[in-house]
Amino acid sequence: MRLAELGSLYALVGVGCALVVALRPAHRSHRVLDAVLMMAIWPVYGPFLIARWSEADGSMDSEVAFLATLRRAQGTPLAALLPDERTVRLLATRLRVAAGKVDEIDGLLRRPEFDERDALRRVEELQSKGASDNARSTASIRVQNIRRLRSLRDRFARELDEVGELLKQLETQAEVVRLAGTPDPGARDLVQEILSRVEGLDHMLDDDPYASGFAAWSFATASREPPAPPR
Amino acid sequence: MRTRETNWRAAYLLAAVGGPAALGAALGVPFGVRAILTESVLLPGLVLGLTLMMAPALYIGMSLAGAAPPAMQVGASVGRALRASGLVMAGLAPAMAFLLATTLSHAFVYVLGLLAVGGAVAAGLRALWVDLVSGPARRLRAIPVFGLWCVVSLGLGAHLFIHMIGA
Amino acid sequence: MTTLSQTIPESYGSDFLHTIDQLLRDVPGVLQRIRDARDLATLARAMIVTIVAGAGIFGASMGAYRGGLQVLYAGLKLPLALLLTTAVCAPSLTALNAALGRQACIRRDLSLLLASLARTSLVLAAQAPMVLLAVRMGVSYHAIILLVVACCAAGAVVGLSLLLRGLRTSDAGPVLAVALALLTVFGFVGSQMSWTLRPFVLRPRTPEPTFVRSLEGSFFEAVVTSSMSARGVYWRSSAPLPGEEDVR
Repeated sequence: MRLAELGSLYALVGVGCALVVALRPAHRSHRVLDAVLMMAIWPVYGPFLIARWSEADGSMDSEVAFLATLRRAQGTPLAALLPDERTVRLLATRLRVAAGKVDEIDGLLRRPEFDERDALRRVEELQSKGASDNARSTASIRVQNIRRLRSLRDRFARELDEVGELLKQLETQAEVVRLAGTPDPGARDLVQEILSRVEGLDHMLDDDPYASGFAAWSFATASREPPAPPR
Repeated sequence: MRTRETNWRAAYLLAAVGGPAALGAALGVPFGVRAILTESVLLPGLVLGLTLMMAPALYIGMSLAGAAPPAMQVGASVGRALRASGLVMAGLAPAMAFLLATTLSHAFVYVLGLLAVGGAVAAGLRALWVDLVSGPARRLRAIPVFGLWCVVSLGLGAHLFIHMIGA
Repeated sequence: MTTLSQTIPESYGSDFLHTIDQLLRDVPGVLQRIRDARDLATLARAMIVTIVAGAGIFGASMGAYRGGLQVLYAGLKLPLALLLTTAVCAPSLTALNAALGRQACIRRDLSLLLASLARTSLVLAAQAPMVLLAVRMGVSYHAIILLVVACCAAGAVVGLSLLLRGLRTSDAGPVLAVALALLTVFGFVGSQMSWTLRPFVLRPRTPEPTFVRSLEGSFFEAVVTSSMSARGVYWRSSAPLPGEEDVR
């Protein structure tokens, strides 16, 4: 296989990628550029588009979604219910930090040292070998830490998903209000709900010591290989 | 709900086998489709076969030198080293495919192939060293054993690799 | 009093000029954005357009030595060389990061590479007038080649400094090993890619400009041939012109 064949293969994949981009619903202004870039340099541009599509299908970039939704709502009678610029920025940052925490914990939980089944197996192994109380309790703490990390991750993810759903609801509400001309009575409650949920993320960060990185430290101390039992 | 569980064992296996397979396929590019398929099987076979052959020697040598951790940990470290070298091989595969598709000289296939595989193996050996040896006393005892083991493994591997290309 | 519209620009994250301005004057801001993985698709798009524009301008200035169609050809081929090299080398940085125990995320790694290349392209674009001046003053072919190499080297240093900074701030792992390995791969592939897409400046004795020449082996084989020629060892009477057969 020489350069011509390799080049043809590259071009074929590029054309395929460009077609996928062209046929997929997207922002009109960028569709042509995205298709051209995918055709020419799909190994470089592909990962960005794939990530953007998977965010759009599930949970969008939280901060961007929050800010974009509030901007759209500002052009409607809901504008009077929205907070000031400084508050918006602070809340957006909280969303970004919370989303970052979920990703950070996901990254930790993917590592072999944080495998819960392995940790449980280790506890059972130490129990069957008749290891010391210290060794068994250290191994048990490791399991507890992993479970706490997982539960913290699930709490954050649940909150972020619920905020995401509320934002989508606000988007549709904003359109209804814009066409109707007057704010819906439920709109005020909706905006308040969103703002208090996002503020609440901060308290989750403050209340749980693991959220401030304590998890990584406590795991590092708890996961040291327990001393071998005396022969 | 957000992201997903990843089976890290499957990811490690994919890197350890898939990486050499991708690089092997790239090395076969100058020789045709049959060589692409053959070498995508031969290179992972070479890497894994050599590892199976040499890993026990490493454990025995390090144990005699008083520098070896438990056998299971050595096995896990070898697995992580295979993952590291497999990842580098996967990353280098597209570059190698392009370089080898545009060269007319078979000598360069050997040179570039040795460079790419050598670089990937070096990453794996580094991961193995970092994983196995901790503490200055252990490190001093481990250096001669690990060094000799690396020289023998690399020599054997290079010899088999050169005979493998274009086979 | 600032309004929400000013907090969130009309085209949030999609302002090309703002991104280019940030790339030139606020490198820590760009690196932070990459670390936070904020709207990287828009950043990538802006970087790619910058590379096409900046490298295109410099390529066109190289082609101005011959003039005519060569201006267009070189203006198209230089950005193509940079972007196709990146496309081929794209997985290497992530693979190296993962293998050496550093944080590895293909989008962040690609964004860092693209930002470095975009900065290089902007420096090249800034140096294009120097090449044009040399062409207008009738400087010889070999002197133009040396000037072009010097300009590319200057651009490369600027881009490399951003890359190293990005690697250092993203993770505490082995930066030098990753940087050296990546540069080696990039150097090999980039050299061969440029060789494949040559000519850019075009030798004076070439009768007609062509988009690309026949392959005639690799860049490295050409280096070996040149070093043999420098020692007085020749295996042909002259280098083939485009369209001529390379008789070995």
